[in-house]
Amino acid sequence: MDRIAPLIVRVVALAALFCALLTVGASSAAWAKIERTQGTPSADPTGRLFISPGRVESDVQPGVATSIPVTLTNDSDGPFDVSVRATDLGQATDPRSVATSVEDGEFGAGDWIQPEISDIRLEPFETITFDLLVNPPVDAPIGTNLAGLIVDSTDADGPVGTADTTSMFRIEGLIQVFLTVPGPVKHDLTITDVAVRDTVILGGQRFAVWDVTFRNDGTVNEHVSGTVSIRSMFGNAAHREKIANLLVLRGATRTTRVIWRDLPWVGAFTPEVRVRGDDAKLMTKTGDRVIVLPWWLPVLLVLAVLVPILVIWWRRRQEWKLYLEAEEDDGSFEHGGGAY
Amino acid sequence: MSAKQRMPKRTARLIAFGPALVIACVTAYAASGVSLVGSATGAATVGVTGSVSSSFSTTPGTTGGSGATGCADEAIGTSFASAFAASNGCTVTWSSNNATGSEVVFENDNAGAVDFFCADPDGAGALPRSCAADGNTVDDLTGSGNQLVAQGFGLALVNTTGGDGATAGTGVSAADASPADTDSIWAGIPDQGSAVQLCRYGSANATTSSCNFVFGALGKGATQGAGDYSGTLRLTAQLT
Repeated sequence: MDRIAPLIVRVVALAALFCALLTVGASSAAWAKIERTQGTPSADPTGRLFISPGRVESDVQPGVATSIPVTLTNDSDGPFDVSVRATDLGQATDPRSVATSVEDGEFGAGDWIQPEISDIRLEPFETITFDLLVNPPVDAPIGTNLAGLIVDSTDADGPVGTADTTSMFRIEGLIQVFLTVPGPVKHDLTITDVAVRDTVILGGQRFAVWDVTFRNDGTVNEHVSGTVSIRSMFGNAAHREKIANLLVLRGATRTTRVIWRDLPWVGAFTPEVRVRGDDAKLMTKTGDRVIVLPWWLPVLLVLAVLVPILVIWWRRRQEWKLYLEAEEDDGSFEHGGGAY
Repeated sequence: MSAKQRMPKRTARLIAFGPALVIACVTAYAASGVSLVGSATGAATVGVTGSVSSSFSTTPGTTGGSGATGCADEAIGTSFASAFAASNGCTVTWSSNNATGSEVVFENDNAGAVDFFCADPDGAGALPRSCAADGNTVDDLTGSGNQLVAQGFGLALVNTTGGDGATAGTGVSAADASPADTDSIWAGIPDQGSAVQLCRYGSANATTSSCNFVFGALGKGATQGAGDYSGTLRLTAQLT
């Protein structure tokens, strides 16, 4: 018995260690993986850094790590120094934009993600693929959480990571990372406004502009798709524009611009927005009417009415003159005849 | 007047008002918006499930401008202390295959609410000039559509180029080939987290879209001391 007990303890310990290794292996699908590929030199390089993907939208589970591959390609004949860092995202202050990097966003998830590289040099025509590790906390809130990956690039100069960043202008790429924790999410998307830019179009302008504004008070990002039907004063659909896959962040207001080009030269037109969010619920809203009236149309109409009236009046006057002259002639003849 | 004479007159009246009737009919037809040519529609809806693999590209920030090394030597000489001066100009070039478009936004690179040109570029801890009191500063403009008044600086879009031709963003009112201080096109430089659009493209811009812009300053009336002042403007390309 004294010999068996330590043996049992050892077996149990080994089994526990084995299970622990299995657990770690299962939860960490995100093994570090960096691949570098030297591409064929191009005779006409664009001189740009290609970043893919530009946007990530993925479901994640609390406490379960995963990874997302990111690819950077140097399409230039000189080396680039690239630095990558995670950030929170928040709603852009400009409602025509989607998102902007912020220090501490309300729904920020910048600390959930970690790129496998930070500073790296890309040789000419080289491609690097690395993993973006996603590690949601065990208490990750249900809904969409907003993160971003900033990719800063400069022409290589000196050791990697020491490039001068004090120049007046720095140009970065931002990969938007939207991580949704599934559960009883709330969809609450509304059309708040359909505003026309020019209520009356009098000149030679041949386009009308409406700004359609959406508000998302739900707990997940919404993708808005649908149509804007523009009806004439007779009720028929004169034109139709699509709203395709417009992203509205949770807690955000977003405006998209609808432009009707080749506008008819006259008329009164009213837009009706019919869109659906991710919950497929139909939303409709009628917007402000635009009146198209070229300045020359009233002038033409007045002329078209007045000219015939004047012509008729003038002809009547001429006929009346002729009639009077004829009457005078007839009267003198009759008078003369009577005298005889 | 005889009955034979009245009939032609009625016909003549009808003919006389014919043009007015034709105009009214044509107007009504046009006002219905009906066109013999089919109307253009937007791009097809793209379904979103899982990861979206749209990509984009940017040019590292050392291109463009008329100076020796483009953006890298962007600077304003001492003349701005008494008169308007603009930098050489800089170009940001980007592309994306994203069907809903892409944009370039700009913001102050200084963290917190430290004004542009107010952070110490050498990291020594001391501000290069006083940004605490009026009269000692060259203030950033606020909002767009501004003239570059005394003690002001801002950003102006010069033009957009490239085969896919981007359009002016909502943060700048229009492009101006030769911006002067009296032009109402200068945009303010917002704090971090409040980036505004410099340029945009509404659909996939597969080849090249470029925006050329300059930095302008008019220090007239300012009382800052001698020295080199610097600031960094962050431009970010992303999908919309």
